[in-house]
Amino acid sequence: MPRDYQKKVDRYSKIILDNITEGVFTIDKGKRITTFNTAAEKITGISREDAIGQACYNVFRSNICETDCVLYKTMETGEPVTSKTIYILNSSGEQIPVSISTASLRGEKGHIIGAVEIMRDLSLESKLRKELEKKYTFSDIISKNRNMKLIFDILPQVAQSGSMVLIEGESGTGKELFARVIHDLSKRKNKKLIAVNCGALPDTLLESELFGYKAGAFTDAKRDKKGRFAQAEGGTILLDEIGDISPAFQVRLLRFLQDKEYEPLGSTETIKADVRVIAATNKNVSQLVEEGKFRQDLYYRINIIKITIPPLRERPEDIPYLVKHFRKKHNHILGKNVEGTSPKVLEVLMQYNFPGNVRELENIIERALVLCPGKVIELENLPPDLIISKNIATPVKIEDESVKDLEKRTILDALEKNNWNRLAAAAKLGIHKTTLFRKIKQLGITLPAIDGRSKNTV
Amino acid sequence: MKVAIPVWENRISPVFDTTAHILQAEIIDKMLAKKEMLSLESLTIYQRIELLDNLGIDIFICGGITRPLLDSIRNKNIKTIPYVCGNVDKILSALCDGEDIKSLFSMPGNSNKEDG
Repeated sequence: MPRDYQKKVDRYSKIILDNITEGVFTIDKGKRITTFNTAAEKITGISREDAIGQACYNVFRSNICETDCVLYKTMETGEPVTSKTIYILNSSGEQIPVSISTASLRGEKGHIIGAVEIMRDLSLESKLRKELEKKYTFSDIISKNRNMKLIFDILPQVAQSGSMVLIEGESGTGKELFARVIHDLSKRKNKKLIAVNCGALPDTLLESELFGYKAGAFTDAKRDKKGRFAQAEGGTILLDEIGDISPAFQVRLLRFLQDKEYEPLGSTETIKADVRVIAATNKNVSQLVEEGKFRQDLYYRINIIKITIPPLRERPEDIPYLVKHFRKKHNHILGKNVEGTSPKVLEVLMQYNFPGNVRELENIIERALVLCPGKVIELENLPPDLIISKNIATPVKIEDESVKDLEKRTILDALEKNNWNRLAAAAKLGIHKTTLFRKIKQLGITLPAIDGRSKNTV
Repeated sequence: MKVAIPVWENRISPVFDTTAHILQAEIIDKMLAKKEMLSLESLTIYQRIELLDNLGIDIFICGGITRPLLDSIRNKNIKTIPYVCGNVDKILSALCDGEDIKSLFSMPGNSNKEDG
């Protein structure tokens, strides 16, 4: 073959390789990468310049590199591997599911000189499957916030404990996601997690929904129906909006939680249940107890481990990460290829109060992607009412220390203005004098010898 | 100074989440004083975090690592240098000499990244 023609063939081969959607790379017998196409760069996040000449395991970073390297096997046996699903880590530490196939490469004399691997990114399929099956893992909760990290730290132990959990958080903070992660990290993960929205159903319906009924229990009960507790047997049940259940149903639920036994409507048979109960609410249940709207004994029963998810406005540092996550997710779903978000958009989002929390942010990003004609989400892709919203405020990010300082300053101010008279200062602050004394001690406030009652006050 | 490095064939393991062995080493006065190989087989990622914490590790050097695991280890106040590759003895020697591990042994594609 003439040399010029060979060059042309080589150039075309490279063009073809770089224009296919599957990642393709080859290695030599020493496991060094010799070819790395554009799709492989995209999937791994590693450039061709960085990858060529490197050991394949340091680029590919898969869960099988150490124990079950398919490229090595292919080179040893000459046998190809087809459509094996594995995980790789990209350069940002994200787990990417890929389907791989391998084949050996033979030289002119028929000897094996290396191997080729073709990989297909399964992220889209995996994400859609997760959405459909509602199967989430720890890594699906995105946060850099200190308080969220404290929750992450205890989540595995909470999951393993099997104890009752109360998840408090505003609407849209991801209470169900946390419940699913607790379930998936627990010994019950192979059984079902059943979620029931207690606030959406009246008492009678809720009772039959949870405990089931026998045929003839009421007019329309033609056949026996299993309740949600029976469906969740061996698994977990999430009682969402627990703060909204009626006083009558609170009694019924308390009895169940004490004995773990129930009778379906119209049945005389008592059924023993093996179900872990997770309760969730967007209300402050202890406040409901104080107001007499929620039974104290039920509160003690459900409040064995309480997880309070901070609202999005208290963790603005998470917004850029969540924006990126939702952009990628909806890019896949909508078939778009929006690659970034303009700094101005992030600025607006960082200043917004997000009354609807993470769910609202996801909706905003989905809408922006639908309207975005280019590669970057711009201000005009955001809902107009967001930009002129009254909810936009200076982000309030008060650390614990600052809160203490603020309290200290306020108390000192009130004391000084009342000539160090504790009783008057407490009245001015609208708190009881014992609370004031406790705060003075707690915050380490040093008071002068005078106490305001003395006639020698300055 | 106590150091831990996930090891595979005397190199840093490509992925800490799934690796089977970890080398625990102690450096005293810029000299390698102790080396011990520990098995991580059958340990979950949470047990791996607990192990590092219980061993009192000061510096953890690893190759690829998933983001939540990296964050959890750092939450335990363990100084972590991720995305490092190469021969373990050379890396320990460089550490004894006080050299910059990141710039010398960075994994491909991670030399210019914040965590690389």
